[in-house]
Amino acid sequence: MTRTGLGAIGALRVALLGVALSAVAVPAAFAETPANQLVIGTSLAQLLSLDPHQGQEPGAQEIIANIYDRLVATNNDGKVLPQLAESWEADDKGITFHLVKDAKFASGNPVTSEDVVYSIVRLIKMNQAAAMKMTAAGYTKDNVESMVHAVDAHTFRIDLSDVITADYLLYRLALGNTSIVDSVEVKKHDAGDNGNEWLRTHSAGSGPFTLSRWSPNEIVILEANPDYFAGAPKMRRVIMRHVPESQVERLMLERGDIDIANALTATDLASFKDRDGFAIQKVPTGGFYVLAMNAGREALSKPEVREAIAYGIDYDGIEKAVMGLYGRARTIPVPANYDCVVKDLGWSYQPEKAKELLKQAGYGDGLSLTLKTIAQTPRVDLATAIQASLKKVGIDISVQQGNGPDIISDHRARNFDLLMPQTGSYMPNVIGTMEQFSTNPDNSKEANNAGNFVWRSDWDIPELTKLTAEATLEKDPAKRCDMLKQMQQMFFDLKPAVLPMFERFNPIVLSDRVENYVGHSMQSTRLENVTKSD
Amino acid sequence: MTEMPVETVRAPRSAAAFRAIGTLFRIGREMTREPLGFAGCIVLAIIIIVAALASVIAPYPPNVQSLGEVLQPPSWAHWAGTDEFGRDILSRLMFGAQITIRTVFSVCIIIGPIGLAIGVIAGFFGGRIDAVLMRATDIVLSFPALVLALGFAAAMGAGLNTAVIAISLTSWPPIARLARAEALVVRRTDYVAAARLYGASRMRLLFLYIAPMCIPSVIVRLTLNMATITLTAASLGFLGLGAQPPAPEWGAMIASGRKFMLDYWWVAVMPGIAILLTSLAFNIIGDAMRDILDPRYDRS
Amino acid sequence: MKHFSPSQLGKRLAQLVLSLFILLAVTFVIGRVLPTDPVGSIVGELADPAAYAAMRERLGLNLPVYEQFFVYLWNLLHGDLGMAALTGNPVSSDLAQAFPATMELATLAIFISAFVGVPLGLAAALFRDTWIDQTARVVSLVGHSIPVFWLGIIGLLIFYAGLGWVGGPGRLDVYYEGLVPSVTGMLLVDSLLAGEKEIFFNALSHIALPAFMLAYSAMAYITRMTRSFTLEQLGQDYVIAARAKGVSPRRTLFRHILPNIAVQLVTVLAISYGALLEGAVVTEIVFSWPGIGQYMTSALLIGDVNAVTATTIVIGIVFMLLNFLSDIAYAVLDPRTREATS
Repeated sequence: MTRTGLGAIGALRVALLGVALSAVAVPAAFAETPANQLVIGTSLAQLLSLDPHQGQEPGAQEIIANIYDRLVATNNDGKVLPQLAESWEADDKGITFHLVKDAKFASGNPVTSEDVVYSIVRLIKMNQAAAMKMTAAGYTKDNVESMVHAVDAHTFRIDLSDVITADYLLYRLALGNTSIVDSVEVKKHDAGDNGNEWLRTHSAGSGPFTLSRWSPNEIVILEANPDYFAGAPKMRRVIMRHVPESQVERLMLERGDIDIANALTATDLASFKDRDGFAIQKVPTGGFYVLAMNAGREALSKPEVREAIAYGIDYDGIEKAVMGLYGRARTIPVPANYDCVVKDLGWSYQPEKAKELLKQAGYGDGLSLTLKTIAQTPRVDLATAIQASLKKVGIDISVQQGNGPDIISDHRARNFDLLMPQTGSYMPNVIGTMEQFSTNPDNSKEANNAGNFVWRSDWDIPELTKLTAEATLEKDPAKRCDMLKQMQQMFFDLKPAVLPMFERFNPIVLSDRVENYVGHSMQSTRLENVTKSD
Repeated sequence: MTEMPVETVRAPRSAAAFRAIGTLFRIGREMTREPLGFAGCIVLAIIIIVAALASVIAPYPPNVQSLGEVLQPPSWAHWAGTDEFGRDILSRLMFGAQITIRTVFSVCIIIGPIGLAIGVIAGFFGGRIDAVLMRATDIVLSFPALVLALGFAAAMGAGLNTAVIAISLTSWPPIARLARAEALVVRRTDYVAAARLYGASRMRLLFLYIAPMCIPSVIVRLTLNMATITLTAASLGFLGLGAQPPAPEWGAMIASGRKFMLDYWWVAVMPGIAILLTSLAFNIIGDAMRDILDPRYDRS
Repeated sequence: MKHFSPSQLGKRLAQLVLSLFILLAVTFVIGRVLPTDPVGSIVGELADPAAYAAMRERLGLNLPVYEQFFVYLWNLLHGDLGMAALTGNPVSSDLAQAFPATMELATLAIFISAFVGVPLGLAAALFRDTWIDQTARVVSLVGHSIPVFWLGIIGLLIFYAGLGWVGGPGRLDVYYEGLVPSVTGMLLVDSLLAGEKEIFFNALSHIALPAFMLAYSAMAYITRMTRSFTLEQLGQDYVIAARAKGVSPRRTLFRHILPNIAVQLVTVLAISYGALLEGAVVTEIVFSWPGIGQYMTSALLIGDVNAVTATTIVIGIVFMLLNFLSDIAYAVLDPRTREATS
């Protein structure tokens, strides 16, 4: 036995050495991304289509925004900027756009007004969810062809419908879904489906990048378009890597495998705070963290009680302790940097006033309410903080956490005292962010308008609803601005049952090597000017 | 033949049961002499006791959140630290042991009798019945168990019970094979022949004489299987297809702890240790039992 | 011992076909029972009843169940696995991308586990009851008991986050993606074919950790089996006789023992390979490895019927083929069978 063993051990040694060597041969992986490639860690889950007239998900929007151009674009302050249209004039009947003369699609075809007409007609004829913003504005399958005109090769005109003004139409034309596609290319692939099957996974745009590869749930690679009319982008490639795990994403960023990390959890975000080599950007969303109060409940039907709650929340303290990167205290549903904002309106933490109001309403001895929230950062912490804050003014809150669908269905069924939803926005202006706080056409239970935010809170506001509708259709900018300000004042005076508390931000972390990256509030971040240092 | 008084067949029958029990006792006795196997038994005993008494001995309730003390590292107050909701991980592990033990034994209670019945019937009757049953066994054996379990769990809706059923559906064949092999041996033994002579019916022979004799090896095989069941159940939990939150299922605890592993390692590491210890105990015991029962070292 | 005659081969083939048929039936049932509405997921929640009915008809859901099953089989035979709601692509093209990634991982893992497990098992048997045997036993017991997804997490924590010895999750550092033309879909092979040494080593640094972690449980099994096969051979008369005749131990090992256990080892490797494919399902999640495991679990979580059933079928088929081939290999390689036929 021992002799066998001794002989065999020589052979074993060779084999084991082989294993050891193969392990050593793997080189240590200390990586740094190349200076001419931008690598973004993000979630590509549920990314189903890159056809700009179909894709809806935030991930798709970020990609489409860089493959395609739109007539105009917006910035985070709500200004409309030229993109494919170098200028435009609006009149009572419509808007005339003058296109950039030397713009070309990646295919080499020139961008003409025919392409614009084709694109808008295609969006509406395909009639996907992506077309909703335009169909809601009065452009339908039946009328769209008579409302868009190629005046000459570089002049495009669109007529106004009865339900939209030129200003608001401009915002809609700035959305990713109204991107301009290469009509020649797309028609080549039209198999009776407007080329959708092909365009879903290919690009035919005039933007600064082209789609080079898309592996679902794995990776999207964009290549620079060297002939982009405003100059070739600085990055040769942009790579978006699907990283569903926040911890993994954080590691990759720390190790230099990626340059930008999206959608990190609070814990992982916090680890980058004040850390050398990284910067955190709070990308505005135009949305809010909201405290919804059920005005159908006896106590909350009293404006005094609602205002007591509004005065009883320690906004600044909570912003510092809990919200941090996620939000900024703001109790009027319009970001402070927009036009037509009423300055210095809103509530602040005044516990004495809150107690006084409660006494007036007959709840001097205190009040007990439940607060429902989705179990998710930062909402759970926010709920706990609100609980602590309101306790001091004599309101006892018990927090109930639940999963998304349960909480949302309670919200829709008016089955709550207090509930913490959040809002988003589809255009960066007062109407875009505020409409959902100020419109409730029919508050009756029978209307069952569960899609409406205000209806869910059983808050009847006929006057404010009317004013909102009028402001939307007002064509004179100065007059409209007054009406928008009036809306904000009225919202304040009515002591809202849908109380915005914090303006919502999407925090992202960037490596210090990345410059000129400005996250866009409508998920339309353009990357052509992004540079990287070595 | 049918007139035969019952008393006369009783003697060999009780002998069969006695032999089976005797074998189990012998295994138990010899186990105490084998240090590793003994250690395995002690660990398993502790886990079972903890699971049984979890509601008495756990220092904290398993599902009550305490947002003031989230993600605390292990300390005297919380031996295994706290999770993202401030729940005591040790207490959750104790209650999680209930889930694991219950899953493992439920699966065994399902697949033990089924495997035993199929195997014994196939071995005893032979011929066409044997061919059909063994073919079916081979086919199920050639399925990828975890993948099928995933499919079943998804189809029936995630949950602890479906996990038990999904695991059971794919894990009876080895038992059946083993039981068949045993039955082939047992049916040739003297006392079965004696019982047959006394006119015991086939069903009687099958269930009162042959089946009991196969039980010890089935139990050994089940013990070895328990480790696999523990791991499969944890995998299903990890993938979100086992017990649903807030139940403190170990695999699910790892899945949620993974979100914090860089800063708060204990949240994911502790449940892993619990799984490792449990399946290690099952494996060691099964190994030792097998050595005792078959010193030649079974190779299945 | 098995002896394969042509008629037995035929029987074995028939069994394979039967197993496949049952697998398809089972997946069909799983697909029908999945708690999702395949029509609704295509036409959308708000579709009018007529459009719903039309789509239902187009999908063949108005047919009797047995006819649906035949349509299902017919489509499968034509390689039509349906569209994946998960990605919007045909499932077959998704799988064509994901499958090589899993194959690459499992193949490397089986090499590692054989490379470590066989020598360790031999050593354990040759030095029975010494510290080598004890070590092998502990290593293999732990390998049988450790949850592979947990091991992956710990490995990632130590070797990537802590020490930085290996590449992180995914198959490549991100900026290497898309630079190598896909021939086999296996990056290690493709990068060598393209002569991209740098990419090869990068891919290696990424696959090393998941492959080792995945290999561990298979290695435990291989070690234990090798040990037990070798012990059996050591007790055989011919080995004892050879040793008595003064045949050198090395010669005994290589000329007598190894050839005799080789056949059994092939079977063990085939079984392990199947197990590795399964283990890959959970390992892939931990390492963000874009293979069929990750594909299947993402599909499961959104209730994507086509993707789930197709993945189950593909893994099942590979699994069964492995079983089948190992049986054939047994017949072809077994010296006793060969002697009998020659």
